[in-house]
Amino acid sequence: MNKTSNRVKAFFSKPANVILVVFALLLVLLTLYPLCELVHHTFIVHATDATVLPGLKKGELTTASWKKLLTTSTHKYSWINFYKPMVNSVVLATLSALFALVFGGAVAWLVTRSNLKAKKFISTVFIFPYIMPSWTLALFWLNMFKNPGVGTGSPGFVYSITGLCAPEWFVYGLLPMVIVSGLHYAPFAYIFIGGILRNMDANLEEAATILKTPRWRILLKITLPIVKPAILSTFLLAFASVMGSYAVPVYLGSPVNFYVLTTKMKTLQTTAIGQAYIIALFMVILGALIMMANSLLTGTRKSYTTVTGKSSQISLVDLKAGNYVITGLLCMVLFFVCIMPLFSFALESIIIKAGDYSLSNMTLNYWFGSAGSVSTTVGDTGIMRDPAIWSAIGTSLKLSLCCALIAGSCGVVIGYAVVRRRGSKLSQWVSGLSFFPYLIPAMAFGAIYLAIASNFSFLANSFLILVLVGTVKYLPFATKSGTNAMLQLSAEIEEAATIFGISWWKRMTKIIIPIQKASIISGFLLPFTSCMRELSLFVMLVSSRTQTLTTMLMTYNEKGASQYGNAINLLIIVLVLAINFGVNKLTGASIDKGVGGN
Amino acid sequence: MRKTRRGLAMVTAAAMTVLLSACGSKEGAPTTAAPAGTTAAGTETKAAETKAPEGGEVKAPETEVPAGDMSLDDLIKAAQDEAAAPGAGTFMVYAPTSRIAKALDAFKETYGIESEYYNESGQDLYTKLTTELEAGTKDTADVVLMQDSYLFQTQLVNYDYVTNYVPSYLENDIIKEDQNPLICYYYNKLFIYNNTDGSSGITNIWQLTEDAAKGKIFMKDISKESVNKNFLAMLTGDEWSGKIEAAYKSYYGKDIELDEDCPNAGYQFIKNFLKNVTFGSGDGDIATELSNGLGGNMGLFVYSKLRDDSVDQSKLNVVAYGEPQAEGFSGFMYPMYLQMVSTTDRPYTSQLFIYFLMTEDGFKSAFQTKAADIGTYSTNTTIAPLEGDKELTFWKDCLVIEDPIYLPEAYAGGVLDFITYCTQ
Repeated sequence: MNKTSNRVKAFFSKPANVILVVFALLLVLLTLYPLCELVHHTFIVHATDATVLPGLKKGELTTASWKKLLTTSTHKYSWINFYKPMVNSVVLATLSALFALVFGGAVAWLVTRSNLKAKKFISTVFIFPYIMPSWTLALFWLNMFKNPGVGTGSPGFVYSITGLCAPEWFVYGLLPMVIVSGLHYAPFAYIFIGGILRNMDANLEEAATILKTPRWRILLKITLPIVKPAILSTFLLAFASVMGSYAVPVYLGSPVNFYVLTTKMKTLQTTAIGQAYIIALFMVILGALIMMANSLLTGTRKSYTTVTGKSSQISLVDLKAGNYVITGLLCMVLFFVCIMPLFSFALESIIIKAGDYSLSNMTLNYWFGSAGSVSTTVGDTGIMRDPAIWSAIGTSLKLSLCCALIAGSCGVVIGYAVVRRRGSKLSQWVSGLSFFPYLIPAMAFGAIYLAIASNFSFLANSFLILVLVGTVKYLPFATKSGTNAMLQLSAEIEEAATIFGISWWKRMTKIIIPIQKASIISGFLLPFTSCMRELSLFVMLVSSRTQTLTTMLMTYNEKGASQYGNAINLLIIVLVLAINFGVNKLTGASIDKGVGGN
Repeated sequence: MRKTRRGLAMVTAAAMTVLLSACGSKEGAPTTAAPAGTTAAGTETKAAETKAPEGGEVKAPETEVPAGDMSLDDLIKAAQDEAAAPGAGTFMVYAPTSRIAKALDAFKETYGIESEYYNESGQDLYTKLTTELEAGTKDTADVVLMQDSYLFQTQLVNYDYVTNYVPSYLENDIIKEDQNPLICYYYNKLFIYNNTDGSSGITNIWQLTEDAAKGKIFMKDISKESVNKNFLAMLTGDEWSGKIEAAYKSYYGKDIELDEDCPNAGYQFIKNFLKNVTFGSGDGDIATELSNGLGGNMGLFVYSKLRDDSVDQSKLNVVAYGEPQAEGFSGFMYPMYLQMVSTTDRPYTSQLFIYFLMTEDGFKSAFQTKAADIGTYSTNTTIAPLEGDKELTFWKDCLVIEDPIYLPEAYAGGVLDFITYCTQ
């Protein structure tokens, strides 16, 4: 008995163990419970199911939804509603994630490891696409390339300037979806891979260089293996994100009947919600499969310690003559996908009739107009005069800050504990669990948390529920970056401090966190940015008191008040950029500094 | 290591206990919470009983008979007392449109009663409401304004979540057939075409199914907005399939031949029509794009978009205004139901608000604030349509209107599977 209690004491004397136990408990509650609810809901007859599944009553348990969705051949039901969208989703998510990886990874390497020009610019604008709500990039694509040959035939920017008609497969369908989603999530790759590349110990590469190893071999045998964990987690994040994205497929897929799991899920929500939950479940399962493959590939024994106490001097690859070509090309592409949309949002928010860019057709009334100066179906004043917008700005900022602070701090702590107890079951359990919220589609996640909140009056319609759901949902970002940061950090640094009897708190705040500040700050900024532009997660949980900018944006987009929509969009981006800038000035760190800008 | 595992097991067990108790409380709780403050004779609301109805049985909304002797002044007084009572919860309105905010402001101005709202235009509104009602959440809606007759019937009315209240003071002004359930107003979506190539629209809906119209018809993705699905589903009913069949005969001069998978002319029309349709992301985008796009293109979108600043009205024509009107139909129309939540703890305030929204002042405060607000038709006959718009009776004649009784039948019969099949 004494022996046992001693063992327990010894176990809990290590801070890493305490952290793991606490978070294991919390995560079971916050992620496993929603997941169980999700499974449970696939077997319940809901009010909508009761109509389309004859003979069943609301509240009963049944497998009818499963049978209907998976095994109905009438009207090719299962093929149309499940199998084909599933194939489409997997193809789309895989290709988009690969595109994001290659593009983001390449730029990260160029910025951190070569003597590329204009690093500051590239570094700053590269994360813009992630700040914009994903559908706005899709809208931008359409505004660029639509032409008389497709859709309604209204002319887009490229056609108006050059008279060139892009073919339909370039405007709608798989290709633009992959490009838009890939661009949107490329910053993941840039931030995670870049963070490691910047911090990795150059000794390995230098040793190889001294031994006259060819450059490509160094890349293949040293650099790539070191960033492998980041590559895999980026792929996983991007894959799961694209899997759960709804807006891009609606804008670019639906017009050519390209349906994915999310669009089908949304359709079934109104008529057979049980089947919608099954689709959500399969999305979780697909994500979980990738996650398992990820942990198999990463293994548990391999070590990726790259930051040691020793000094490291990164030698930059000389791009030679290619430098200007690559810099020029990259800046052009980035200007097109990162800066142009901002101009386009600004422009579209001041013109009255779409497509007419003459001065007489422009007005600032959508921004600053007094009551009655504007005629749309949703409003008649400029957004800056609308108290609802100001309150939404407040809510969005407060919410994103809370989520970022809580998730970010938890991420650092979890990352530390997971890495210190590496290889233990508990550590694997916590690191796996902390990723699960990301695999559950935001729509289903929101619905489940609504059900939870409804049972507790202090949560229903409160700000607290938004913070809770946002924190849990974006914990994976924080945990990933926390874990990545800690993985590179050699344990010997902390051990040295431990020998001197320095307390855990001091070790964390004086040694570990300062060394990995760049990675850790990105662990805070990602949840912040994601929260600022999140919609589906919050849409059912807000009330009129807690409207966020994105829920307002949705209202305006839904009602077709595109000027307001564009204005708010720009407002969100400007706010996020301003916060990034503020963080940079105050702490000297920022998302892009973690990677390479100076 | 073994300790670790045991520790984990304990953790899991503890968590599961919490989890199970959470589940238990959820199932045990639904709607037994009787609303506080509903004791006044005559206006006592029935506590909602959420017994599931038999199979496909269709219920009529419970009708709340207002106290005959309660004058409007008394109702106002009672509502204001409710708001002033200690512990009065929030008076909350759920609606599919953010315009409701203006009505609430006007309501406050007129009667001094504070309120809040939640707006979302799709299924999420129903999910939120029913989840909260099942859980007995205190701060849920007191009054709801709902669109989509199918969801309204199958998710609210069938489970007695809502109670019908017709303000007796306006009983004679409100159209009789729209009183049970009470419809606040109708909203219409019309076939509107681009006239820049000299197009004169259509004279018969079957023209929309011909090869020449392929890729030239635009409507909002049916997965995004369920009223669009309802419109198609309505066409399979006896009334509309009959009209569609007649339109076929008058256009082609022969009887329609049905495909094997089409039980009636309505199905056949949907099948041929959807082949030509391109889905857009929203009515606003479709309207704007249509006015900038090619001549002859046809859109199906909400009428009010026509008066949006960003749309060039002169390039667009409304099919319904054609001479003669297109045979068949010229678009569709859907009701906005205005109901009291059965478990409301602010019954008088709810009634007063419903009354207010049915009056000219209330309706105009939110839904007809400016000349551009066409396409919204109050069922209160004393409220005239805006200039340039037509009376509700005109639209009822030429538009397909949702039927809350037929729609559940149609969906149970698999009409949606058919529609989905046709969109591929």
